Amino acid sequence: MNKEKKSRIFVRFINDSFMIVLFATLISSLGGISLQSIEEEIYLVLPMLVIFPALNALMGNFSIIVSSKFTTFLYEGVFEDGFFKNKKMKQILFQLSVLGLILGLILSLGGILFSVVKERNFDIIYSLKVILTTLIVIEVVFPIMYLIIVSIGYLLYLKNKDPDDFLIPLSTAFADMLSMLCLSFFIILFF
Amino acid sequence: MLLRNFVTKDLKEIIFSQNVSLIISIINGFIIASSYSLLIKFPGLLILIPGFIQLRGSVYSRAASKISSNLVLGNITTNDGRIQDDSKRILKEILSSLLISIIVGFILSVFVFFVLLIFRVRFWQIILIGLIASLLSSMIMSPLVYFLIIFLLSRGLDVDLISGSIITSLGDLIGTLTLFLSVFILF
Repeated sequence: MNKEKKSRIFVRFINDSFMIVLFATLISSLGGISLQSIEEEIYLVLPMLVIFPALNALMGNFSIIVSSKFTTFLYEGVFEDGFFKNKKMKQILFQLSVLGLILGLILSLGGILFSVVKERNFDIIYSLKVILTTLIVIEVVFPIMYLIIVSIGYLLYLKNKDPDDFLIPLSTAFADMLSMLCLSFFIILFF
Repeated sequence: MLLRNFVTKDLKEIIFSQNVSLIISIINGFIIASSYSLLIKFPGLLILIPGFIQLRGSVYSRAASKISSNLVLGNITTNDGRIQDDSKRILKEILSSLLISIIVGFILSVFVFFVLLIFRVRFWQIILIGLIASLLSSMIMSPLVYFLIIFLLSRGLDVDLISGSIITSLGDLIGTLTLFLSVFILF
């Protein structure tokens, strides 16, 4: 393979997905910085260590669902009545909000169970705080995520770029960062 | 009536994929919480983990999605459970994912090293931990995703619907395990 062909393949590879993956990864690690900055508090709230990866996955998955639905609706032209008034989108957002509460509850119970087994200690107020923190994070981050998805998705659409290529990695990265920032904030506030 | 309107076909599919993903993620959380002594002993792991697991998920689900698009476009075909992929697109996608995840994993580790300097912690070994974990997880994930996609395609199942949540959750789990494994290898 000659040098020119090699460099063309490399440029295509960089343009294709490398930069977006790198950007998304660095955004996610910003959330990790917020956890590192409260490391003493987070080690004291053991259930949160169980909850944070699952919370990231949950918010990431919700972002993937909303992003792909948003892109499909955008191409179908169903947003004539606005991004916040469309019935189909409103139904999906409502379903995910309710599902988020149920899954968040299961998740926090899993974290509390782990802590009870590991430390052989159960405190009802502490457990309620864990549940409340998880549910608040989900319900605060989810609407912010929708705003981010709508803004980035529409901007990409106006620039004639396929939102499918960028929206999923970007929205999952922002979901990671925001849920960890929010989690850190409420851990400081409640514990 | 209200409940019937709420529980749509979409919601049922979402609940299934979320449950699988949630179970794997809670297992991942148990592993992280059980290893919190390592997180205290080795600074930077807590910063590295979110970016690292995000990387596996986005790289390999993107590969699955690209392969699925090629299937729709007719570049990859299936015939009686046998896959026709003359231009070896599946293999190329998986290999490019392997390369991206190793390079980005290394850059992420260097980034974490510099962030630690802001926290006044000088721990250059975090770069080695990230690099070894990147190599290990890519070596595990690449064949795993390759065979998962081949399996789904040969069974005539929808790669888009099934692979996304499974691949990201597996990426989370394998990413965390290989990070801790590389700590054990190095120290």
